[in-house]
Amino acid sequence: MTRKPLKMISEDSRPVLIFLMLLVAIFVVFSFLHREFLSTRNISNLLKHASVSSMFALGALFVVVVGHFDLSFHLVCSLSGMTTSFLIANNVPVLPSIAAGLAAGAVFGFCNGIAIGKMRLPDMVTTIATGAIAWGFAWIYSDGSYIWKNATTSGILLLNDALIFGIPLPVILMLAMYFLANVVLHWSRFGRCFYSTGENRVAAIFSGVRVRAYIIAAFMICAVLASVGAIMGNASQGSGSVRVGMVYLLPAYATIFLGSAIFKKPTVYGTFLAALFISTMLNGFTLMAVPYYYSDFMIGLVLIVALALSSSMVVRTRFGTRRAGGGESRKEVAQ
Amino acid sequence: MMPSPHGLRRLFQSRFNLLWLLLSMVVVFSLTSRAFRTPENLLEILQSSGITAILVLGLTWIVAIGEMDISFADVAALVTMLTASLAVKSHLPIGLALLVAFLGGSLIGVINGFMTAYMKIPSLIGTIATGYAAKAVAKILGGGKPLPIESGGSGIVYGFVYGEVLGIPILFIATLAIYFFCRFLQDQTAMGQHLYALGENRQAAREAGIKEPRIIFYYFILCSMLASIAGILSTAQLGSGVSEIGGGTLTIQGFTAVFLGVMVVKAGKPNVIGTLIGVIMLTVLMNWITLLGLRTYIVWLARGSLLLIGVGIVTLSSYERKAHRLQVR
Repeated sequence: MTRKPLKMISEDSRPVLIFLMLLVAIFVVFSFLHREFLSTRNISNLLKHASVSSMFALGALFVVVVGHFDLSFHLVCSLSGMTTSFLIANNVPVLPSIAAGLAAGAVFGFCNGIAIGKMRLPDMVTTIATGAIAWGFAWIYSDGSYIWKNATTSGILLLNDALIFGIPLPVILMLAMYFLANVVLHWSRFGRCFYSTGENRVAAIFSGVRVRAYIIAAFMICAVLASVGAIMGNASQGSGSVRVGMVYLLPAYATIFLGSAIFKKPTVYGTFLAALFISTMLNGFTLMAVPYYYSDFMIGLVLIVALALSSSMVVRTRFGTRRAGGGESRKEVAQ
Repeated sequence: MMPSPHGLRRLFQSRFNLLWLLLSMVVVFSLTSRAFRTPENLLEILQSSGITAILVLGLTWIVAIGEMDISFADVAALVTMLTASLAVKSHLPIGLALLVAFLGGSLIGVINGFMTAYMKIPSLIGTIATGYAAKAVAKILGGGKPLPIESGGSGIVYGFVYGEVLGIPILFIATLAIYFFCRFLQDQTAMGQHLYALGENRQAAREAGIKEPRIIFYYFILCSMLASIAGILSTAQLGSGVSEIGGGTLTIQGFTAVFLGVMVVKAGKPNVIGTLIGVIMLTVLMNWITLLGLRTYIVWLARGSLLLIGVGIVTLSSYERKAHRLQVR
């Protein structure tokens, strides 16, 4: 009897409600714990942080949707960020520099996609290797030191500081990217192809899905979005750093799996809500002057809990099939 | 099946190619670099490859079984930090501190194994999470800084790491002994058979009555235990607890060693002797690069490319084999 009211809410909207309630709860707790938490400045900081970290999560989401993992985007993006900063330091205008940075990311994403989608190398180890190579390249520009020349005069900082109708530019960028990704993944046939590639590769091939192209596309999207995140991150720091993306690898996966734990599959809106949730938590910890390694521990814990929650439904069906599907790949090669 | 060649020709089979490459590398480096061929440097190579070799021994089997463990380097770091903080902050006797640290490191393996074997969480993501948590705990224990430890206390371990017998480090001899014992386990016992059966075809192995979850569970614990031992050894080597051994490069180094090793002895499958050769080869290469004074990026490019080449050769050759098998059928 007590469960009746819940049944009146439709199956699909229930997770959203749970999530929003969690989010509100965490907001209430932190606003009691720290007076500054609900101030405009802090909320704007929170959203700026969320917009950088959620960019990484959104990119990795595509790779997770096609049933793979990318352990290189946090290193590939540092190459993009350094490329952009290096070009700006050498008096190249901002927009071409950003384009060159994104192109560098796209090249690495393409290589990942070819190696994993076409040559069928194991995704994790391959991306660890390509990540190391990308990181090696990122060190060439300045041997690992910060690049801050021309940063203040070139206008790259506007990427972090500009306000449009009172809303910070990174936040608008985040909302735009998430809207676009939502259109692609959930409202178009491309999205269905991405999902079917991940769920059952062989069935997708026989349904006429160009599986390899979608895997390559997913890895490229991942690398490019991570590069966007890195360039935004560099803009907020005021200098190009080779370590810009290092801290985002685990939070990105924590975000995706937290989202899919509650929505039962990896989705754009789930990732968005989870990104807000994690950023709020981190922001709260930072305000209360908790050392950064405690929040590292919290993220690790959140990921483990999310995995435990989602293991029964999402992960097992999605990644179990891939493991068992090893047999099909042989036939495919033999043909 | 081709008849296996006898005598000397056996040593020139393609599965020993990497061994010859290693030997020629050592010879060429010794001839060209005066700093490389000093006895101190060669000893240094043997000693530092000893610790890495023990660290990645468990990883070899995890990869052979078809799983992943990203947390091994962080487990080792956690053990160094646990030892240091228990000995320095809590004033425990060093033996007890080492024991507790070892158990703490193994606990991570228990969690990894439980998540992978019984909860069916993909081991890659699960071990990323536990590794991250382990690294965070290590940082919390040291307050984000390395924690120095007086070397006088850990006399036995210290002696083990730096001691020499007939000019060869004890550590390296012990590593060799452990590796040949593990080679025996892997090639001559049912344990090894189960391992490769699970790696080859999970379903078939399960139906043949191999207790899949339990074996995977045990291997994850074993992996963390070996990583913990490596952590204890590096505590003695570094003289302090650190939250990141080797600046976070250990993970990629471990995987590179394992995947280089796949090319040797049992072509296409991770195996302990191959891993040992892979570790020594990597250490030799990195040592040579360091002696030349090359810039950091070359080291990273070399690491990444080596891993990529290893993985590429393994995967592509195994496809050829499988395709061949299908055609025969």
